[in-house]
Amino acid sequence: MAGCSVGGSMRSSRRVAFALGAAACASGSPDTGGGDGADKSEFTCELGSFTEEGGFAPFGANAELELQMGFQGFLLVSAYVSTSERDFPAGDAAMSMVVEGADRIDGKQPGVAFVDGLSDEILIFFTANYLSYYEGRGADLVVRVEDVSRYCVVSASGTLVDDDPCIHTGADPICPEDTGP
Amino acid sequence: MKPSQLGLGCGVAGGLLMTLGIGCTPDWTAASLTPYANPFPKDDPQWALQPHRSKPQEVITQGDRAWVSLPGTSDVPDDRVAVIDLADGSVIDRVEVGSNPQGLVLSPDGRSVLVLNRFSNWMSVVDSESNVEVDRIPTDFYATEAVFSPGGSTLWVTNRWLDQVRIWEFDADGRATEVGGVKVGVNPRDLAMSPDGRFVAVANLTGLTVSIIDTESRDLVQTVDLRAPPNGLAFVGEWLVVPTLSASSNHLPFAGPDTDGDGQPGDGTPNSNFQDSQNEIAVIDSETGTVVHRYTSDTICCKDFRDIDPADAALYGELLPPADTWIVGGALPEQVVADGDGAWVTYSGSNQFQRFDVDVATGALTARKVFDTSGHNPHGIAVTDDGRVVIAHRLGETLGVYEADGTVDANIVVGDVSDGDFPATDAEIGELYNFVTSKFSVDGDQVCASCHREQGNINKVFGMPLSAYGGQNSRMTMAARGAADTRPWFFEGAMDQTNFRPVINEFARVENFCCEDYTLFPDGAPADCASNPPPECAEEPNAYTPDGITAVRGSALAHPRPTSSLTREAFYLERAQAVIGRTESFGDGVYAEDLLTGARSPIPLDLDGVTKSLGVFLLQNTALLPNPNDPDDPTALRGRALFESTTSNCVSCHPAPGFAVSTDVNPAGVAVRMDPVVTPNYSDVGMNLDLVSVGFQSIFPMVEQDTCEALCGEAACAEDPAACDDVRNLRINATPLRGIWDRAPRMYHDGRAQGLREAICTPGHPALHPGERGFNERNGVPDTNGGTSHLSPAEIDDLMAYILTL
Repeated sequence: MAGCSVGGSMRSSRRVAFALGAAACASGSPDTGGGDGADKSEFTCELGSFTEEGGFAPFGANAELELQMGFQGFLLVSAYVSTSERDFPAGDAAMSMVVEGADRIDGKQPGVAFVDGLSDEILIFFTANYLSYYEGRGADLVVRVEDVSRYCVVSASGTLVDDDPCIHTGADPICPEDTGP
Repeated sequence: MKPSQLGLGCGVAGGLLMTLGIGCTPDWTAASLTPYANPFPKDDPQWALQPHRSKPQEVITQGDRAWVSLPGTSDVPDDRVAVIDLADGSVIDRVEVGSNPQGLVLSPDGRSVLVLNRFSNWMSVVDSESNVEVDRIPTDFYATEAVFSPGGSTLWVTNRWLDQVRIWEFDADGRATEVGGVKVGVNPRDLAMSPDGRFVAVANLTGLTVSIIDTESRDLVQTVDLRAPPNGLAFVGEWLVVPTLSASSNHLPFAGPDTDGDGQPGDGTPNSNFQDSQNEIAVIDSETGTVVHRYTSDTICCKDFRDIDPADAALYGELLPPADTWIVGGALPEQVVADGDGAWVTYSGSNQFQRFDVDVATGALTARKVFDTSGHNPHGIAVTDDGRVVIAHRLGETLGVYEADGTVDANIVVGDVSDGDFPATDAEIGELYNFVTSKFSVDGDQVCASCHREQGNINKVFGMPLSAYGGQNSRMTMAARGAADTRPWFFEGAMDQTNFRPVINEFARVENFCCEDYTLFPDGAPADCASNPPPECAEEPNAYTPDGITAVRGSALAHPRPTSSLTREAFYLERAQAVIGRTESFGDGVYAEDLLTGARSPIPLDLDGVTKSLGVFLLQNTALLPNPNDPDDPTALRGRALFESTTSNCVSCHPAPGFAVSTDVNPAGVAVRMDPVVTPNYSDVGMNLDLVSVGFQSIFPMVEQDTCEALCGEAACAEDPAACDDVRNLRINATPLRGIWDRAPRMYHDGRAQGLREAICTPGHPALHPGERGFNERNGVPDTNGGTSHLSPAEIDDLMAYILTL
């Protein structure tokens, strides 16, 4: 995954534990809105997980979206975007997630680097840190990536699971209480 | 000496011949400064049209009449003074004066009100009967506040641009002549005259000192270093009462830099990170310049889980201020007015005010009850002849009139609410949060604006959270200005306007809320915790932390949780309802977007919603003070040529328009970061104090920092995590230079350079003044922050002159 690292980002080699299913929805559907897409060309992309061992694996139906807690208790899920547009260098990511019974969560991650069509890790933060509230709930996730001329929008659905609240970065897990001030 | 008389013939129409300022200076032309342009584009989806606001700031009274300055903002200045009839609560008039009026002072005969116009080159003389500007007395730009000598023959005026107190003398006919000035500290704002007329005291807001001037000799006789901003000052007898903040700097008690100058490392305060920032009032003996008392927050212990109990000897609890000094009842003590043997203080960060009685023999303060104001962000304060207290609510756009028992007599709209009561937009929600943060902090003490005074920085370095060596590192306070000039922000490019939640997190850490407290429930609280709290939530785990990071339970020193809220979201929403009157954003700049349909909807004003609102506020307003330096001055023009030359190459990293590299001006749309251009900040034992923490990196992929393992191997790093600190780098983005003319002198990320000259000069450069050091080098290699070693001292002056025009 060295090619997907941005300046030594330490999450780039972390173990990702998404269980995969089949409901991921590749971009290109006619109802994609999202602002100024009309001025840009759309390309297709997929949303999934990544491991050093297995590489990129698209989310499927009944995907298990792993809840992760790290650094001062912030709660998040992560994902990767893959595209056949191998020359796509970098883009701004917008993320939206609707958790069953909760408000829409939305976030941005500017300057997400792509190497050979695979993004760096994209993080979607929850607004609350109440892990057990989210566990077991369904979630619909949408990610839009764009640069000045191109964009893709991709969605996935799954269930939020909590296998281990700590973030894994290489060999040593990072738990909230370990992460310093 | 500069004659400065100006009369009706100099362009002011109508009005009475006034006691003050009769005459005219023929070669003088009225001028006002132009605000900086804001590059935040109108087609940005987060941009929204903002209401016009007048920002009532200072207030004075005479009988039943009050005058309130309406400066507006630095981006959209107002130019009026409101005149209020306190008997019936009506606004009699709004007098047009100069741009960005701030200080007000009544002439000794009561016939005129002098208005200090910061962005105009004159002070206005307003007839106190007709409410018309009848005269203009020329000044330099940034004349800010003024005070008369007891007899009225001398006027002392602070000037933020010149860092001086300028002096005018009035003859028997009221003719004013500017006779000179006294150099004081950085950014002088408020000033006060001792009752006997012997001293003028000046509060140097971002310079962190109080200057005391002998009025007879006109010499600076005392400089009192508070190591915190003097936000205002007033004499009560011989005692100078100064609302300020804590002198500590978030460093550990016995580690980190010697910020208090006692020859020992650390600042001697046991609390860590933002918890170390407290609200204080200092009492200074004006004769000796000695701080005889210093009082601190009444909630210094123990609400936030990181607060240290004074009984905890293992954690240096004895180093906390004595409990009998915990009497300051609000956040961000701002302005003060004397009232007999006492003084009233406004708390701009918590919408409160409080009276203190002053022991005339010792200067000791006795606190009285804290009252809530009827409007947001109380600033200027005055006392009427009949003992009522009047307070200008800067964000609320109102003037509050209060009885001495806190009863609200009236809340009079003196500013502009024609586009709706404040806050009316998401950016205004963010503005409210910026200036009244304490309402959303668990212990009610911390405020964004405490360190970002007027959204600028203060001349002080702090130990910052998020760093690899917390409590030992040092970071210069950042100016919260020109936010659209450089994105991403914070820690030199790790965060943007939507996701800087780890910073805001400091005000209400999740560990304070039972159902989200991972130190209590490492595997998560029960799913029904918020509706059916388990017994653990009744425990008292907080306010006792061995490392300033984690809570400890079962201690005899445990304290109650700071609020009854079981989750942080519930806490924020409860506070938002109470303070703002709503729990959702307006949706004009802060919203959730359905990426499939493009539909947008408001979001809750929880930590995320408030963070994003603050981000929009910072983008919508540059908050850069208009620049008074002349870009067409020949010196500056020569400096510009040097700045843009290939030999200095300044322009490569500091290109116009923001004079920084941001995602907005970079065609690739990504942040450009580079290795440090000056020697990193190393500890005595070689730790690189600039590095950020592992945890922080784990959730911010935009951070670019070398890992120890990559450079030295896992074995070496397992033995010593700092093994490679001498070669590890945090890659950072360029500092924006726009508006640098008004920043506090310290420069570079750790504040090592004491001014622009030290920042741009190489070590030993002949342009350095005695006692100055040049820091333009990295590890002994000069010119790493631009080529300047070949420049002559005169060329360095030219280069500096240009940079100060940006």
